[in-house]
Amino acid sequence: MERIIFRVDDRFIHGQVIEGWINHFSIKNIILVNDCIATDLNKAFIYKSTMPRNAKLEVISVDSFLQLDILNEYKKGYLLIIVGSIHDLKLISSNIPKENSYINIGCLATGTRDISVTDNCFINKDELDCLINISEKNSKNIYAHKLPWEKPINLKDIHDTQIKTIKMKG
Amino acid sequence: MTNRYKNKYTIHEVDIYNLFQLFWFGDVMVNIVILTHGMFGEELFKASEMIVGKQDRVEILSIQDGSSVHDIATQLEAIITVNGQYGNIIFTDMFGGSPSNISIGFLDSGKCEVVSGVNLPMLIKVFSLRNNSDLSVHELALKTAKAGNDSIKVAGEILHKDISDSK
Repeated sequence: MERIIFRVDDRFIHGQVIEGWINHFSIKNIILVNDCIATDLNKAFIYKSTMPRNAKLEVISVDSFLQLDILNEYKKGYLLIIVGSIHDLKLISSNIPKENSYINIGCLATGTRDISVTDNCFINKDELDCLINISEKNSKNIYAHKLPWEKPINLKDIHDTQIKTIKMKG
Repeated sequence: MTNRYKNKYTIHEVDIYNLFQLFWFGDVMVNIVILTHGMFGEELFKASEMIVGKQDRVEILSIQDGSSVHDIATQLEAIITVNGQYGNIIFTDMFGGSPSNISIGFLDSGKCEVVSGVNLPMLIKVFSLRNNSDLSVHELALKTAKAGNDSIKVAGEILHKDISDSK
């Protein structure tokens, strides 16, 4: 697994993230990038209190993240960066390192989203297009990947299937 | 009285139901909410009723795959609001999980407490103690959590200790 893991998850930090990613890879540094939580001390405290021993969570805004020199400030070990939406991933995409980074999508609730990627990951056409755009700009695949030991799903495959379906209907 | 909120009742509708319940039962006991992943809470509650009998003022909420955390929080807020005057204890399955993270946002000193790691002895304890008006919501939560902790045993350790003590 690449050293710097970016994850989109609308539940931010929860069981799958703690057990599946933080504990599995013994991740010591976690950054939650969200403008609302960064200014809400209570919410930030809730997420910080859930961290396993030896794991440190920082909650910062999108702007603060864009100022970070990730590769130099976090030289050793795994780094997990969590955002709550594909929109936020797009906002921080200019600061995704080309090397040693992996982008995955975790939980995204159904709502009005009509594309079911996994049993707990749903997206709409605009979000899929946005992900493909980020993927192409950063020259790396983006995967729906609930847990590290499960098989990841390349969002490009979902995108290609969507295009084929549209063509068949047309 | 489980799953009343699954169909997203409005606060107004819930309030009318609550007034009816107060008139009908005439009680002022602490309201219990069980919020877990999947159907764990539902089944755990059924198991507790097998031991302590039918229980009122209990609400079950579950987070399923694809559930919106925002929707669950809205349903929880409706429950907490209408039962606020009696106090609420929210039981969740795992500290750090989504049910727990959502619930902690509703912590309210003396009125709403959150207890994670719910198990059967905890529910049995809270159902047997919540009619005791001398206990505050916080005290009730502490006693419940202790019952849950004390109930966790490794049988081999108990046996080993008993044998060691008898020598």
